[in-house]
Amino acid sequence: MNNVNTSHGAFYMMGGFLTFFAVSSLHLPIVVSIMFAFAAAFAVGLFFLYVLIPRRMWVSGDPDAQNTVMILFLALAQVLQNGAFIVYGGGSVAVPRISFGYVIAPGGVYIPNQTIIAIAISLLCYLGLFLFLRDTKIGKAIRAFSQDRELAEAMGVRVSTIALMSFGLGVSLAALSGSLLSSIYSITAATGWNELVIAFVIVTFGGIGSISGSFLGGLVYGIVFAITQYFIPAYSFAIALVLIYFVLVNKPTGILGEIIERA
Amino acid sequence: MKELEPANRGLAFGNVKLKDVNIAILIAALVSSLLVPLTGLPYLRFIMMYFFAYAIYTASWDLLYSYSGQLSLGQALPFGLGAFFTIMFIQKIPLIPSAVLGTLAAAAVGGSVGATTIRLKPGYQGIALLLFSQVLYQITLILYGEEGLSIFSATPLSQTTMYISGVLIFAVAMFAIYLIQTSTYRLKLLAIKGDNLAANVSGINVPVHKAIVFFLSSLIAGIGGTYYAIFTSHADFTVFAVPNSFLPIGMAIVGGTGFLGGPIIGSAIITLLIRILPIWYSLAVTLFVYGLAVMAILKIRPTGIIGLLLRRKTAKGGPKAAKG
Repeated sequence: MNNVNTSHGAFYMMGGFLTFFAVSSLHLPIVVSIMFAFAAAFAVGLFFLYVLIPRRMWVSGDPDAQNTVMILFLALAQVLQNGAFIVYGGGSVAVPRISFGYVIAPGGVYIPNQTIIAIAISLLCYLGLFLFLRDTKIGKAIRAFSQDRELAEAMGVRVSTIALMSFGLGVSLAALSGSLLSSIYSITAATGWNELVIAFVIVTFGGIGSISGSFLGGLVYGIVFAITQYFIPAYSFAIALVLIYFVLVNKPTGILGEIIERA
Repeated sequence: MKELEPANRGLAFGNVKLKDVNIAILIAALVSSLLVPLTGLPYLRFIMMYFFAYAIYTASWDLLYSYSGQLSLGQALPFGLGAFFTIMFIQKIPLIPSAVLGTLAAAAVGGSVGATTIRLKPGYQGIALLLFSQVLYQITLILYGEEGLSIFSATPLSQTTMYISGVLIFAVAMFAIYLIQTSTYRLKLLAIKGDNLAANVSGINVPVHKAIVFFLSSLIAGIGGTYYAIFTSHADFTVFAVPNSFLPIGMAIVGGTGFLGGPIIGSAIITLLIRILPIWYSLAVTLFVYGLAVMAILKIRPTGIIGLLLRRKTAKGGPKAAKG
């Protein structure tokens, strides 16, 4: 869509809270709750896109429009976070795990079942997204649109379909990761900003617009984070981000993409 | 005609009326800052001190946004650095040198960090700056804990001295911004904002000027942060939090971007909102309302309150209104 969604972290937080809401208030089983969060986030995302963002800015290459959209989403993040704060308070909420227990991997490494499930689901999502973009009609339209907007429009690709699908999917995936990770890490109303900058570093490191790049970027971030966590645990977040950022500054195109603007 | 930033456009074409309105707003702010102590309301005086810090902070963000097209989502970085450096220096050296050094250090660090981001596209640049403010948020939380750093002085400054210095700092900072925004140098910045490539072709060294404006903006935000730290005698990790980075953005949007007047009006209104509403409701409700207000204004009237004032003024002028 050519836009940077600055409320992505807030949607991550919202995913955790939607799951918590489904479990605690609707008394749904945890797996159904996660599905509920995924679907509800899609609907909520589309609602905000319709209500908040002027239609001509849904997909726009104009820097002014892009900045306006970023500020609108930032304001939305503030509203969502404080809304969650008003409803659930400032403490963290406990989302139950899908499965308790752990597996002992070779070398005596304890891996909780929940982590394995989260990895499996994220791999499935990655694969699903990859196939969706590669093979389905809408996926092809999204790719065509991101390569050459005018030509794609001339071929009958509808801007609104692209914007709705890509935004809705993005929000749903953020919410899904929120609902999966909220049972591993705690989640509070203020959660989301670290996740946003991590996502930013990963995506730009891999190359904007490249799903495989994001996969690679995520792997690199995870490894760097784990190594720094071993040596300097307190500052691992800061060091991992700044290290990758400076690699990024020296190679602003990312590994598999193009983000640099001629300056 | 673009819908956004009419104030900016007006200035670029030498619209005298626009300057008048903005100077009138600045003078009104200064006069009211002198009148507030006469009311004898100590809380209002305290709110005014927040207003001085926030107005400077907002104007620094707007300088970056409206004059070079760089959207910073981490303006809390230079602001918070100003606050932290000043408090750190005060532990060792007297107040005034600490404030000067703190501000300069904030400008140096904030500007250097900003300079690394100038090659990124606007959206990514904004998040890169957010990244650094989040990193500092974490580091200051670990280093200084939740209580942060405070000034413990045997002879604290009197409220009157603090207030008068606030008025002076506000006047000086705003005048400095006024000079930048009316100088011919702004034309270079506006050219860069309008079209990087075209500006480059016409002989403007785009990265250098983008970096310069970052240093200027960090310096001014640093002044705001320094004053904030001195009158609250405190700095903690929350100055780097995202809501604090959103503060000047929302204030500039509510007031209107492009020139001094918008940030002044916006910060006056929002400072009143976020300092008075929590008396009855929680801070979360206040920030919720603030977020909603920013969304509503950006959606309904992207030119902000100053846009409304200017519209009224041109409407009186006659034929311009029909065109505008």
